[in-house]
Amino acid sequence: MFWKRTIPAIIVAAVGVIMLLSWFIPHEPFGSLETHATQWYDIIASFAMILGALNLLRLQGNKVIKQKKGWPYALAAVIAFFMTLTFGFVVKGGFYPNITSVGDNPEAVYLKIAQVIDTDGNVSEEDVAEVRALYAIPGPDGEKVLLHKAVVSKRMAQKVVDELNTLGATASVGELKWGSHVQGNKTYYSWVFYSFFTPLSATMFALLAFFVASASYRAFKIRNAEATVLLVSGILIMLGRVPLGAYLTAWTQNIPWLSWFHLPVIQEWLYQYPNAAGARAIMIGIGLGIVGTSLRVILGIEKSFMGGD
Amino acid sequence: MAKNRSKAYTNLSNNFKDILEKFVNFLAKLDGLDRRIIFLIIGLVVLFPLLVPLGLPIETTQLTEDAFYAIDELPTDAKVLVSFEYGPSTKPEIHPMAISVLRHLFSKGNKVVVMCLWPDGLFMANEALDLVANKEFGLKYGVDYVNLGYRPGNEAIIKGITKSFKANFSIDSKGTNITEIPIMHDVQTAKDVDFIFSLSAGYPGAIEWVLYAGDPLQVPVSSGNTSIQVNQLLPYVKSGQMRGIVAGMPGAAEYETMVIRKLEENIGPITDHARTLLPNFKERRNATKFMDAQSIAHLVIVLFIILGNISFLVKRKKQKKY
Amino acid sequence: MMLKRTTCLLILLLGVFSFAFAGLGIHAEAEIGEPEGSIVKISLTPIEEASIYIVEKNTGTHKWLPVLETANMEFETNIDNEVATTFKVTALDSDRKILATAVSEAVTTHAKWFNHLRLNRFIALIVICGTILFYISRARKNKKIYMRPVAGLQAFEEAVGRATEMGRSVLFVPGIMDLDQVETISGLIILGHVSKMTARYEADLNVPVSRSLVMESGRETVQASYISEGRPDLYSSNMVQYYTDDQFAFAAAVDGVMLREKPAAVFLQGKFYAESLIMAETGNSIGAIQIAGTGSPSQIPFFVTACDYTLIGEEFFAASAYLGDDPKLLGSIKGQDIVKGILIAAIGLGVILETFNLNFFKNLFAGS
Repeated sequence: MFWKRTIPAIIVAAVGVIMLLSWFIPHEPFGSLETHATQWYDIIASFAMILGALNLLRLQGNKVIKQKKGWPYALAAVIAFFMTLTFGFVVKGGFYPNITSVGDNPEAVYLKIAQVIDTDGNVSEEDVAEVRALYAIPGPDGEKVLLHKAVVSKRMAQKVVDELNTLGATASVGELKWGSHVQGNKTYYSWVFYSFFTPLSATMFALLAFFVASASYRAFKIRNAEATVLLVSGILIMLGRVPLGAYLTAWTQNIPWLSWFHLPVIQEWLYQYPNAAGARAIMIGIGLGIVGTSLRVILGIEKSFMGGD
Repeated sequence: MAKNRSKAYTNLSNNFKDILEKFVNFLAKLDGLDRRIIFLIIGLVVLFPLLVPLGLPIETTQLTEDAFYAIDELPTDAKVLVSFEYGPSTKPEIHPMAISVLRHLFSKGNKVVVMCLWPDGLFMANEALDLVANKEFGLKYGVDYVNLGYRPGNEAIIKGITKSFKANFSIDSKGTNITEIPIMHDVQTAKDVDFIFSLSAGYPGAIEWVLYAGDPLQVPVSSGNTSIQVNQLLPYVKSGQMRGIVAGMPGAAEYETMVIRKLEENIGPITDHARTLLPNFKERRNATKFMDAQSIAHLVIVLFIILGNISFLVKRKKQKKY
Repeated sequence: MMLKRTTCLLILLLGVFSFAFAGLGIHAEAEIGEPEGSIVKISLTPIEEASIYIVEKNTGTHKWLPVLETANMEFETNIDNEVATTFKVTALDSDRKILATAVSEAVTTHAKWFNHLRLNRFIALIVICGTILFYISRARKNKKIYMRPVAGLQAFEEAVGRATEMGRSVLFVPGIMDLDQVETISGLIILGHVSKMTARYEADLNVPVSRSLVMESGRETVQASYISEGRPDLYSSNMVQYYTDDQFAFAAAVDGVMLREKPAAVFLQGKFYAESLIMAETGNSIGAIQIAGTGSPSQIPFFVTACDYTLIGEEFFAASAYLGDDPKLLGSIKGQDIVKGILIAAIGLGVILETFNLNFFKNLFAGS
């Protein structure tokens, strides 16, 4: 009990008070305590991710082995986990032709580059012109960075290099360093990012449009006076925020005494005054709530999140 | 004859009553309308304007204008820090404003230092810079702009760069030492930039920039956000801690329009190269294009709300009756 | 008189000539008014034909480190506190040929032991914390404190009871953020109370989390609740499961759990972002009773629309005091309310004074 409850409570209290006061003490060791503490937290959280990953594998693996309801989804999660892990730590890709000279036949080289970039195979004169213009821009080390975006595997890069060299250019295979491969384009990691993560995330976020519609349909009802005010202001903001609202009430702007009824004007007013006032009130309440909760935690009154009563 | 006519009237009246009752019952049932029908209708009405654009005119609002003019009034040699704190999920809303803000800055000749507090923000920054700085403006990396990349640590990174960029970003996203990047020679701390623009979809984001950099260093801050975040940010705008907000897709469309208007009407400083890009800017107006779809979607949601209320009132009246 | 005039003339001429022949110079001076120290004001004495100046610094290691290249004659730079630092300037012409160099005297900066620019915030901290602490100590002396009924909090027990009656589980999501957010801590504190209820009613509890540390903390919390209710046999670590750190992947995972297991009660208590409506609408579609609570102002409208009950802002943070029976917790809530009263009075006074263009009161709250 002492080690599991009392010691953590003492640590929380001591660290809480020190952190609070360090905000007012610029002198070392207090001055940089907040930055260090944040970094310590990040390090602990990073290691804790291993626990999370193991738990995820156990949870999803169990589902697959026992063929529970929806096990194919669990299998997809396990495969995605190992695939991303491999592309992060084992196989990186990111090979590209590093062209140092376009040689005596630059137009043929530009055409080739345009063909490599345009994967759909329809290379127009405009594409070649774009390459021609872009090719004049060297990267930070003087190299031509254009093809960074076009090639992933070493074999593909070598093939393009051979073709470019045949056309008279001087090219060799370059590669992104380990570490920068998670930040660069056309690595296997970025392929996972653009091909899986991006569309899936966008799909989930796009669901909001549908859910907003169904939730509004169900919940915005004229139940009482307050609900009616909410409903009317909601409708005014929804229409005033979009060009359609401005278009529908554009005629009011020609009549001075009616110009206030232009929907974007009403929307802006609702947004900036009643809405900002409400938001401020809620934020002050939340701020006080955070102070209160933090104090309770520091004083040890509240320790159930550490497994206490 | 008169009797027959009276009977006919009674029948007609009864028929009308039946139809009315059926209609009332139908309206009452609408209250529990299957949400999949709502989803289907929303999907269709969003799709339609994307296929057949309506070309509704964009009207600018004060919040976006404040952000636009705060940037527009910066001197041409000003250095601006643009931070990318969004990912693929919010890309449709925030990426168009990232592109517009970069176009605006580069068209004035401002230097841009880009950094990311979200890991996926780096991919967004790479994409935006590749289009605007590289393809459109043909600017020199390291001299006109730099991408410092992503660093983990959230607000600790913001606090860190108020003291030293070098301590937090020893190398940029390409692995080049920061001391070898010309644009960074004059930018030692966040105090050395003239403006901070945060493209943010959550935490860490605009609020952290205001609290840890804007306020302590007195560097003006503005932000491009998702629509829903505006509630939380408005108090900071009203208190002068932020210079306007570009809010969601409508804000992005307004900013796009203002950048085009600036070039069309030749307002303020504009580089010669930027003038040649005007047709390109006009053609690639992603946010403006999507505003037609958003307009129709909002209208349909409003119609749904009205329908839902009619149904609710009819149902309540029926319940009272019994 | 003559002598005096001649002397003055000589001094004047000396001044003019000394300026005309002055070489490249660099002067470094610590910014004394800066509480955090580390800021040095550098001023350069220019020379003709120089187009750019390279400034370097040395911290006693005999290695000159680059500071910046500039054409400005005055600028500020940061150095490490308590480290004697020397600056060197090298003047270059337009062909980057070295024209001259100069070295400054060593300068040392010191951080202060109190940031006077934050005095107003320090006073505010004393007032706010002092008031809350005072009411906590009063509550210890058994002073009865009234707390207004909050519908959302009253519905907690009803929701768990309903799940038990229906033979379905209770789903609790403590937000999507990590333990460094107070909202997550608050969510876990509420989880402690809800898990006590599920232990009492013998209802199934399912807690999906999106951070590994929250998973560990959540397991500790739930286990302690089951032990305190005398039902350690019902506890299983499988009750708290980690899915993913990613916001929307987590939302998809929670939606999947909701649709497969059809919990009768859903608690969404913690820090949420755009996934709030995705979760709440899915919960609504399965007919679960939903109680949300958050400190994210922008998500409150979504929860109000889609959930049966919503704890708005401070209600969410006060939930623990309401659900528990510790008078000290109630005391802290009363303290918070008193502070809120003081703030309302200050805002009112500020509005009146600002209306009459009297800014001194507003300035008391300004700072960096």
